[in-house]
Amino acid sequence: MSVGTLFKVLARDAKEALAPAAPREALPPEPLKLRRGGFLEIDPLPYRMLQGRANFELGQSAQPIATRGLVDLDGTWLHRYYLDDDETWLQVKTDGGTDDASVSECILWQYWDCKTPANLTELKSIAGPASEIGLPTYEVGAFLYQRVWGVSRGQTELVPFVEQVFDKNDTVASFSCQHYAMLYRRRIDASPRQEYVLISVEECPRSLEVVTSIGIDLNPADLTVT
Amino acid sequence: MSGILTKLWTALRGAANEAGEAAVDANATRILDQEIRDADGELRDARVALSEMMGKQSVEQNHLAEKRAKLEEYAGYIRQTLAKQKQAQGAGQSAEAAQSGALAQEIAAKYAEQEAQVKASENVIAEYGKNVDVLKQKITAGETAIRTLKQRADTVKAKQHVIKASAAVAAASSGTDTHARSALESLERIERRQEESLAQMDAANKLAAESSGEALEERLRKAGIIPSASAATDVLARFQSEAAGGKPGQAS
Repeated sequence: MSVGTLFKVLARDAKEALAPAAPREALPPEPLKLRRGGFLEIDPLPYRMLQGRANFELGQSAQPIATRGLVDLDGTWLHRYYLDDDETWLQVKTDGGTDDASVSECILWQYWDCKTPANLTELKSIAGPASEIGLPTYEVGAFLYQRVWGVSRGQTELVPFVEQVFDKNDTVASFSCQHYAMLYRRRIDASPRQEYVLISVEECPRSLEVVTSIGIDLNPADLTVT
Repeated sequence: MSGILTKLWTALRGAANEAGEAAVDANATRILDQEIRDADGELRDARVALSEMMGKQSVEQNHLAEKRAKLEEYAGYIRQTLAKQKQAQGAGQSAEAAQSGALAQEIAAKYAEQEAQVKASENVIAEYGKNVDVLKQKITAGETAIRTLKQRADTVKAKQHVIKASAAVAAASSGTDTHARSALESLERIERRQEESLAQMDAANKLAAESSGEALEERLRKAGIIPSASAATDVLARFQSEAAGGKPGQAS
């Protein structure tokens, strides 16, 4: 290698070393030490105390986080953690950031129902204008819930958002799902916690489902993440 | 011998020290500026550390609020469970009463745990608070010190400018004297030359007037255009003869 060539190689290396890193879409840090693979312990007592007064029933209170979901709502983030039992998932909402101080809401969810429409006609009958989804109230089990989103007196439109799903890698999403969802809630007597119903039409690469989940407010102090 | 060596060594050290001091003095304001900049940088770092600490305190306060909410919730559960137990006891349902009693006991244990966590959280917040206060005081003191330093440095710089300007004025005024002196000399020289020139021109004019004027007067007189030198005597003689009985104004 000649001196000239050596100089060129060194100059190129120096340029590469000094050049700013190529911009890449950085994922926001996760709140409350939550992460895929982390072990989650939930204080079961508040959920036990709601027995008979809510649809929600906590199964396993300690299990690993299997999959992470992330929804970007332009300044607000929904961090979703799907637990190992395939029944329970935790949603942490953060506003204006994703650190612990930005946490504005935590809800512990359980799947209540899942319908798989075979075609568009079936989907319309389950979640279309003729269905109850989007009406001001919604009944699940023995309880009636009030709609949270939308202000119209009649049926309101489902809210669309995209969820990135991380089930194989912490930083690269395996796939994205399109959601069209509606949220309902109700107060629980003699409890500071509220119970929610989330109905979501989920359009994922290999599936189309109408999923109903039941959730209860979770106090971050209920959580121990290892 | 060793005494001489020691003295030589001391002299060398003294020389080195003086040289060092001379270098420091020569760059005194530059060094001072850099030191102020360094202090400012450190203060900025301290502010960053303080804001981080305040951020952590705020997060801990959020945690405390969550823990207190949970404690309050547990308190509610204990009350509810005890009420159930009492109700069961009143209704003679001893098994249910015992069950509620056991549950109340379990919740009370959780309450105690939570209470300890609340206290721990409060202690952490208090500790943060103390450190935040100390750091704030230090930063305020540092800011005051740097402000004073900057003011003094500005004064030193202003004085230096005054000294430089004065030196420049002094140098300029001595130069001005020299120039003024030489200008005056030049002026005198010019005036002298002008006077000489004027005198020469005057003399030349006089000479020219005298020579050409005589010749012309003579020629005019001869031509009878201007009266001769005896004309006045002639006029007088005419008026004298008139008085004696002749006609005035008539030339003889």
